[in-house]
Amino acid sequence: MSRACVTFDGECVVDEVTLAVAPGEFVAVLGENGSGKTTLMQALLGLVPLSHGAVSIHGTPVAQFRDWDRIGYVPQRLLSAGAVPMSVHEVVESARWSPRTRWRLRRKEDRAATSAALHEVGLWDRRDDRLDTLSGGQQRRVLIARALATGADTLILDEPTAGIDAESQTRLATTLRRLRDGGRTILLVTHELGPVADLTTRAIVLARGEHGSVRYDGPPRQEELAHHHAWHHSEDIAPPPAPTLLEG
Amino acid sequence: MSLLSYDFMQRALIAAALIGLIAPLIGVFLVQRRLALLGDGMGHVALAGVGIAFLVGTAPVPTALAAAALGAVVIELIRARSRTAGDLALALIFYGGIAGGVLFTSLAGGKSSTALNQYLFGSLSTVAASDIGWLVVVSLIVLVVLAVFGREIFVMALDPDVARTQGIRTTAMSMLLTVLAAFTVVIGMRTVGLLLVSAIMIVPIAASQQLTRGFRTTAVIGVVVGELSAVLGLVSSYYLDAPPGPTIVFLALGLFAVCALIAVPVRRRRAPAIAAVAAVPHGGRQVTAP
Repeated sequence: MSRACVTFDGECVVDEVTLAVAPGEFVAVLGENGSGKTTLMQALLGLVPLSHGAVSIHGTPVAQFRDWDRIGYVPQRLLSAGAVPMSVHEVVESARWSPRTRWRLRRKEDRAATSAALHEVGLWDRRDDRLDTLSGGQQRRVLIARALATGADTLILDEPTAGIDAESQTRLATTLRRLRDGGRTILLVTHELGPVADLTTRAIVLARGEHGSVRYDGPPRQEELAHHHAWHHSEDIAPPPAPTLLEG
Repeated sequence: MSLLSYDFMQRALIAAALIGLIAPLIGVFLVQRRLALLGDGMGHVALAGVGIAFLVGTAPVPTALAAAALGAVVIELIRARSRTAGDLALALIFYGGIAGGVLFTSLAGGKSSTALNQYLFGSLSTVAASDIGWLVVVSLIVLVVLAVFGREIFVMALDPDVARTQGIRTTAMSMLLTVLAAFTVVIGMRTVGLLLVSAIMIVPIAASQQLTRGFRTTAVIGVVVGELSAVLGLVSSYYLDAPPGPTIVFLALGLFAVCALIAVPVRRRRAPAIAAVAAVPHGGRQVTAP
């Protein structure tokens, strides 16, 4: 991502963000509500247009990127409750469907990936239940299972722990550790590091202001994060260093 | 059965069986996307096609098919470009369609006005032998397209943003669904009629979703309800000497009521089971002592 800006109704939501994520990194994107974390993730995925700048995924400009089976995405909002019932299994399995699988029938590996993902988030026993009978936290776990079922090597998770209990957060952290150790690249948007603090190899702190969106980009040292988290509340503190460009 | 000895009745039954199969398969996606009334609008647009056919003397089915498909593309382009003005633009297209249909039919003169009534509410005798070929081909097209693209349309209906991160072209899938809905309207216009064809897409799904927990099951039971409504409704209209559209829709509504009654004990039985699973730690995975 190079000098990326996203503007909504004339207001700059993501401002001059330049970053690159190396394979195998575990990046936590932090910041308060409205700091542009979700918009940044959407911009990375090409879901919102840039007012200027450029985004590439795995070296390919996002508009030309086709290897979407390498990306697993957990959106911040829960899936919209449509009027037709959907089982938990159907929602997780739908991660397997894309233009690449258009001309083939469901295979054994699709079933295996769906089953493994449901076991991973502890919802195997709820697989036949209607999605809308699950609690908000459980529905978020369904979304996580959905991303896992893709088998992607890059996971983008937008506040996956919002609304889920401490035990499930710990379970998610264990899952993420296994994925990271298996070489997956993980971008995680969160309000606080919590149970993933020791997994994180890099932290990016976002805030709104006149000096670009990135307030901090570096190792997740608590004192640094605390400093940059507080920075935008105090105008008399010097602006942060320029955003780091990490070559991936 | 004596009614099967009539050629027109055989043709009408084939047409009814086709719409009973196809309409719920499209309706399940429309209901999921909260576009239940889209079929109504497409019916209005198809009516303009029927009116044009009367005016210029072409066959109504292909002309209505072309008008509905064109309308579907325009509607999707408007919906994609403007969310707020889109609603207004859709209303203008729908009203324009029904006004055009009636106006063109009046200008055509002759028996066209009587024939228009048959397209509005369906008719046992209007399914011509030449129509059956069209209806079978269009139905096959809808089935093949659904078999190939149905899973992607499902993901798009689930969440368009997530669908895009799976490489799915959501605008194209949305347009495809609307065009399929337009085709379905044309398949149903001979038997159910353009004013009521939307009901056979929606009511069977409204009925089945009360009993089901999954999307696929909802579609399958919807097809069963759709077939029962279409075929039995058509037979009823023969004996009642009434247009088939209203009898088919009344039967579908009756099946909806039956499903609603059956759903009450089914839900009661499921509720304690779900509560029991939810009470187990880890959201449902049984934990046994070592």
